[in-house]
Amino acid sequence: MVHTLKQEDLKQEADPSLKARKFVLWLFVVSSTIMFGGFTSYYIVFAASKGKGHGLVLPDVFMYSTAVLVLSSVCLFLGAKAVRKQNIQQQKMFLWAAVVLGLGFGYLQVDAWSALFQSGAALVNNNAAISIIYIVSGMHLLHIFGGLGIIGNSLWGAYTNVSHEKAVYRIEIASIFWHFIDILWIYLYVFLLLNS
Amino acid sequence: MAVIAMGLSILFRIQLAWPDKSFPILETFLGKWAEGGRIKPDFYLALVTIHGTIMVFFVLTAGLSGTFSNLLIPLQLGVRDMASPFMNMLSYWMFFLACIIMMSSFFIETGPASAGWTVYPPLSALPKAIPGSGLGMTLWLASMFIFVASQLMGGINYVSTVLNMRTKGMDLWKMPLTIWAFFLTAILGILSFPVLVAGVVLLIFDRSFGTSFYLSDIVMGTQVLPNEGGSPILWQHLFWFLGHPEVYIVIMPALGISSEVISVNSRKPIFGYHAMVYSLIGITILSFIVWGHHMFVTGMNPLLGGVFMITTLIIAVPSAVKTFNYLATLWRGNIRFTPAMLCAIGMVSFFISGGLTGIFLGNASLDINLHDTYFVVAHFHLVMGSAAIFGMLAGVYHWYPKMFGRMMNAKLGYLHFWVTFICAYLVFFPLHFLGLDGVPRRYYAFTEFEFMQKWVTVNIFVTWSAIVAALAQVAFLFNFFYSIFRGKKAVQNPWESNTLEWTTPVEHLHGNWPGEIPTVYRWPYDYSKPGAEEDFIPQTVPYSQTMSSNMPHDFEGNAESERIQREWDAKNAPDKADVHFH
Amino acid sequence: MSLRKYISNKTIAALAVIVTVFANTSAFAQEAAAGAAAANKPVDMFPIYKSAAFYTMLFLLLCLFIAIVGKAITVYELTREAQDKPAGINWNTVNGVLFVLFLIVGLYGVYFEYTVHGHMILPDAASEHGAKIDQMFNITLILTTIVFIGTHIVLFLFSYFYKNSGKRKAYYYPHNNALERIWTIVPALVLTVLVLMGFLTWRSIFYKIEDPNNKPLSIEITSQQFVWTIRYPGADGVVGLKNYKLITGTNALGMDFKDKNNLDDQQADEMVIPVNKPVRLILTSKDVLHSFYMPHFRIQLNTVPGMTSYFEFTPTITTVDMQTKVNDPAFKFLFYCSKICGSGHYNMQKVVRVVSQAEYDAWVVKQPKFINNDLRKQFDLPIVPEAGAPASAPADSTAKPAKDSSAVAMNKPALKK
Ligand code: HEM
Ligand SMILES: [Cu+2]
Ligand SMILES: [Cu+2]
Repeated sequence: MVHTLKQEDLKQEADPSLKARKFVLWLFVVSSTIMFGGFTSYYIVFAASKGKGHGLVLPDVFMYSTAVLVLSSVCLFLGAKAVRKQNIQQQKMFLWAAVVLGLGFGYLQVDAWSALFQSGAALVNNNAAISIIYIVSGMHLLHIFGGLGIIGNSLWGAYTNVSHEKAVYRIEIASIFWHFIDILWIYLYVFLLLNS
Repeated sequence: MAVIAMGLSILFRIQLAWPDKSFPILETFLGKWAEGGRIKPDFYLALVTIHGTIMVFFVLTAGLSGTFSNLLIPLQLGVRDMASPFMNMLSYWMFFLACIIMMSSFFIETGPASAGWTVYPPLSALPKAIPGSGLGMTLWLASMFIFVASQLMGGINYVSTVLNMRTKGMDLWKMPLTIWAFFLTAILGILSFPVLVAGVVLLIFDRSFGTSFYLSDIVMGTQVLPNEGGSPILWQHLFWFLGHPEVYIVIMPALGISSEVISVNSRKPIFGYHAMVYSLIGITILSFIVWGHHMFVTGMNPLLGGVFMITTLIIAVPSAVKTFNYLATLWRGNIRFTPAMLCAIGMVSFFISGGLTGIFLGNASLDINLHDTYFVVAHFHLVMGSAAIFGMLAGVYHWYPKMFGRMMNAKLGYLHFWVTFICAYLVFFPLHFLGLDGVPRRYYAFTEFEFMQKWVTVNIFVTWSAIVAALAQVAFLFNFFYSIFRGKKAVQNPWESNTLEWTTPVEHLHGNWPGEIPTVYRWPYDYSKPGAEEDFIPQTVPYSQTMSSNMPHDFEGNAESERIQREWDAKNAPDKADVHFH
Repeated sequence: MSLRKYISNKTIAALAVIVTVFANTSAFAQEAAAGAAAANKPVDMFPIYKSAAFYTMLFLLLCLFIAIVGKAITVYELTREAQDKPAGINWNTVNGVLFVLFLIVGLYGVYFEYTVHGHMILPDAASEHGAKIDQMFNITLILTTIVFIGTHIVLFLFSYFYKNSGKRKAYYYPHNNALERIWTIVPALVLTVLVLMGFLTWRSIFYKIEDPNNKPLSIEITSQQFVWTIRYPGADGVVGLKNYKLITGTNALGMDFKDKNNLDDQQADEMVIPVNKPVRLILTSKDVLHSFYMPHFRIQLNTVPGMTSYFEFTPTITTVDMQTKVNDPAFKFLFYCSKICGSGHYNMQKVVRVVSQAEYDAWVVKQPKFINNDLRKQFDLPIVPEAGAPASAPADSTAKPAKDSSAVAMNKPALKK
C-alpha cells in the first residue's frame, strides 16, 4: 500500500517543490492529451474501417464557442500580466472575464449538443463517430470545469491578498491549464472538422 | 488485497481439481454461488476475473510500484518529500476507495464482473450475456476509473520528483537502478493509463446510455439489439495499448529492485549499469508498439499481425541483456544469501523461464494454437505471478528495516522463499503442457471433454501445490507482522549498502534527514572496489577520501581531479598508477 | 513523516482489509443461511465443521513444529556464540547447497515434464500449414530449452560457487562492453531468424493463392451462447447472404432467402471435410465474442459479432488415420470455444471428421437444408410439399431461442430492412 507524507515542512529551502509542482501540471497535461489521443485514435480507426466519419456539418455554435474560449484565454493572459505587475484591480477584472467567458463556453457547448440532437445526430447513434463528438466535447467540458476551479483559486487569492509569489504561482498554474484546454479544444474541433 | 486474491485463486483451483466433488464448507462462505458445495460456472468466471484484476492492478501495480516508489524515491534521491504531498495523499485514498468498490461487488445480487480481467465487450457490455455484466461490471468500471486516477496522480508525482528534486550531486547517471525503474515505470503509466480511461468511458456509455462504440450486429437469443456500427476489436486495441505497457509497469520495478538487491548482496557493482538503464529505456519505448500481440487471432488485418510479431520479438532483446547482466553480476561475487537475495535470484529464474515462453507466444504463427490456452496462463504467471511477486518480496525483505526499523526473521524468510519458489514452479510449469494439448483457459470444468480427463490428475497436483504455496505465505505474513513489534532492532545500514536511504536515522523523521540533506559524489555501486578498505563505499563519500581506490574513469574526464589523483598515486601506490594510467 | 504516522496509516489500511474480509464472510454466511432456507435442503454441517477443524488443527500443529525447530536452531546458534565458537550453521552454505540441489532436482523435473507431460500433448498437426507451425515450434523449443537450461545452470552454480565465505573479496567488474555487445547481438540475431521464419509462415497461412483446379470448400460457422451452427453451401458451393436483423425463432442464422444461394444451404451437426481439399472457414458470431479453436489443425480465430473472418486450411490426415496414428480408436477431432463467452464457455464443442472425398460426397447429400415451408411462407416463396429429408432437423439449436416469443415479436419491425 501507498504511504503518505505530510505536508508541513518546507519552510527552509525556498521551495524547489514549486517548480516540481508546476511540472506535475505539465505531466497532467500530457496524460490528458493522451486520453484525448485515445478518443481520436478510436475515431480514426473506426472511420478507416467503416470508410465513413460522422458525416455532419458541425453546428455553427461550435464556432462561436471556440471564439469565446479563445477570448477567455486572452483574458487570462492579460490577467496574468496584471498579476505580474501587481495590479490587483485589473487582475480581478480579467480573471472574472475569463471565468464568465468560460461559463459562456460551457453554455454554448450544451447549446451545440442540442443543435446536434435536433439535427438528428443524437448521442445514441448507429454511427459511433457521431457519438464520439459528444464524448470528446463532454470530457473536454469536464476539463473546463476543472480549469474554472483553478482560475477561481487564483481569483480567490486576489481577494485574500496572498503573497505576490503565491499569486504568481497560482496564475501560472491557471494559465498553463487554461491555455492547454483552449488549444485542446481547437485541436478537437479542427480534428472533427477535418474528419467528417 | 494480495491475500484476498490468493484466496480467490485457491477457490477456483479447488474447482478445477475436483470438478465433481462437493465442498459443503464452500456453501457456508459463498452461499448461493456455491450451492450444494460446488462453485457455479458464473461464479467461477467471477472469481477468475476479480483474481486477475486485483493481482494485476491492485497488487502488482499499486502494491509494487506504488509502495516502493513512495518509499524509495525520496529516500534514495535525497528528497524531503514528494513534489506534491497532497496529490500523493489523494492518490492513496483514491486507491483505497477503488479497492472498496471492487470488493463491494461481491455483495451484490448479480455478483462481481465476470468477463475476464480484460473485460472484452460485448460480453462485458450485456447483462443478458452473463449476470456479472450487470451492476458488478459497473462497479468494476467505476473502481478502475478511480484506480487509474489514483495511479496517474502517483505516477505524475514520481516523475516530477525524480526530475526536479534530486539532492546535490545526484545526476541522472548516479541514480540507483531502482529509481530508474520506478521513474520509467511512472512514465509508462502516465502515457498508457489515460488510454484505458478513454476506453472505459466509451464502454460505460455503451453499457449505460445505449451507444454503439463496441457493439454491432448482436442478437441475444432471438432479440435483435439496436446497436450497430461499433466494433469489439476497438476495445481490445484501446485496452491492450494500456495492457501491454501495464505488464511492464508490473515487471520493471521488480527488475529495478532485483538489480539493487543482487548488487548489494553479491558485494559487486551491478554489471553494465548503463546497459541496464538503456535496456529499461528500450523496454519502455518498445512496450508501446507491441500491444497487437494479444490480438493475433482476433481477425484483424494479418499484416498488422506480422508487424506486431516483429516488434514483440525485438522487445525480448533488452530482456535478454538484463538477464545476462544479472548473471555476470553474480560471477565472482561474494554472495550473502539474505532472504531478499534469495527472492531476487528467484525473480531472475522466473524472468528467464517466463520470458522464454513469451518467445513462443510472440511468434504469431505459434500463437494461433497457443492463444487463450493454459500456455498463456503459464507464461504470464511465470513473469508476472512469480517474477514480479518475487521482486516485490525481495523489496519487502530488503527494505523492511527501513520501513519499520526492525529486522525480519531470516530463517522464516528462508523457509518462506524455498517453499514458495518450489511450489510456484510446481504450479506453473505443468500448465504449459495443458496449453500445448489445446486446453483453453477460463474453463470451468474439464469434465465435458474426453481428452481433458487426463489432465485432471495434473490439476489435483497443481492445486495441492498452490495450497502449500498459499500456506507458506503464512510464514511471511507472520514474519511481517510479528517483526513490526518484536523483530530485532535494525542498525542504520544493515546490509552495508551504498545508497542514500541508509544514511537516514533508523527512527523515521519528518523530512527524512535530521540535518542537511547529504550530497552525492559517486555512483551507487562501488562495492568491493580494489584498494578500498571496506567492501562498500556509500554514495556520500567524496573521492578525496578514497584516494587509494579511485579509478581514472571515476572523474569523468575532469582533468584537474585526474591530475591530483595521478600525483597521489605516484607518491603512494606506484604500481596502481602503472596499471591505470597507461 | 513520522514513524507513528506511517504505522497508523498501515494499521488503518490493515484494519480496513480485515473489516472487509470479515464483512465478506458474515454477509456470505447470511446469504448462505437464506439460501439454505429457501432451498429447503438441510445439510448436516457438523461433520464438515469437524473436518475443517481437523485440517486447521493439522496446520497449526505444523506451525508449532516449525516454531519449535526454529527456536532450537536459535538456541543452538546462541550457545555457539556464547562459547565464542564459529557460528553453528552457515546459512550461506545451506542456501548455496540448496540451490545446487534445486538445480539437480529441477533438471530432472524438466526432463520428467518434457517426457511425460510432453507426450500427453496434441498429436502432429493434421493440416498443411499446421506442419509448418509444428516445425517452427520445434525449432523454438530447442533454442529456448538450450537457453533455459544453460542460464539456469549458470545462475544456480554461480550462486553456489560464489557464496560468501568471509575470506574473499568480490571481483570489482562493473562492465565489459565487448561482452555486453555479444549478448545483445547474439539474441538479436537468433530472434531475427525466428521472426523471419515466423513471418514467412504467417504469410503463407493468411495469404493463400487460390488454385483454380482445387477450389476451396466454403463452410460457415456461426457461434452463439453456447452452441455452434455449421452451414454447408449446398450444391452451388456458395454460402448465401444473411442479415442478423432477420433472425427469428425459425431462422436462427438470419438467412435471407431472397438470395437464391441460400436455398440449397445445408445444416450439419458435425463438420465433415474431405482430406487434402482446401477448406475455407467463414466465421461469424451472433452474440458475444467466441473463438473458433480447432487445435489438431492448428487453427484458431475469434468470431466477432459484426465482422466476418476467414481461415483457409487443408486437412491432411483423416480421422481414421489419426486413430491408428495415436493408437486410440476413440480419437476424434474437435473444435471448441476458447474465448470466454459466459457460463457455458467450457462446453461448446463439435466433432470434426476428416474423410475421403467419396465418403464426404455421400455424407453431404444427406444433410438437411435450412429452408422449410415455414420460411418459404415468411419469404413469399412457393411452398414445396415435404420431401425426404426431415425439415425439422435443424431444431436442435433453434428450438431453444424460439421459446422467447416476446423477443420474436420485438423482432418484427426489424424485418423491414
Ligand atoms: C520476453 C518478453 C515477453 C514476450 C515476448 C511476451 C509475449 C507475450 C504474448 C505474445 C502474449 C499474448 C499471448 C496470447 O494471448 O496469445 C503475452 C501474454 C501475456 N504476457 Fe507476455 N511477453 C513477455 C514478457 C512478459 C512480461 C515481463 C510480463 C509481465 C510481467 C508479461 C505478461 C503477460 C500477460 C499478463 C499476458 C496475458 C494477458 C491475457 O491475455 O490475459 N509478459 N505475452
Ligand atoms: Cu503483451
Ligand atoms: Cu466461449
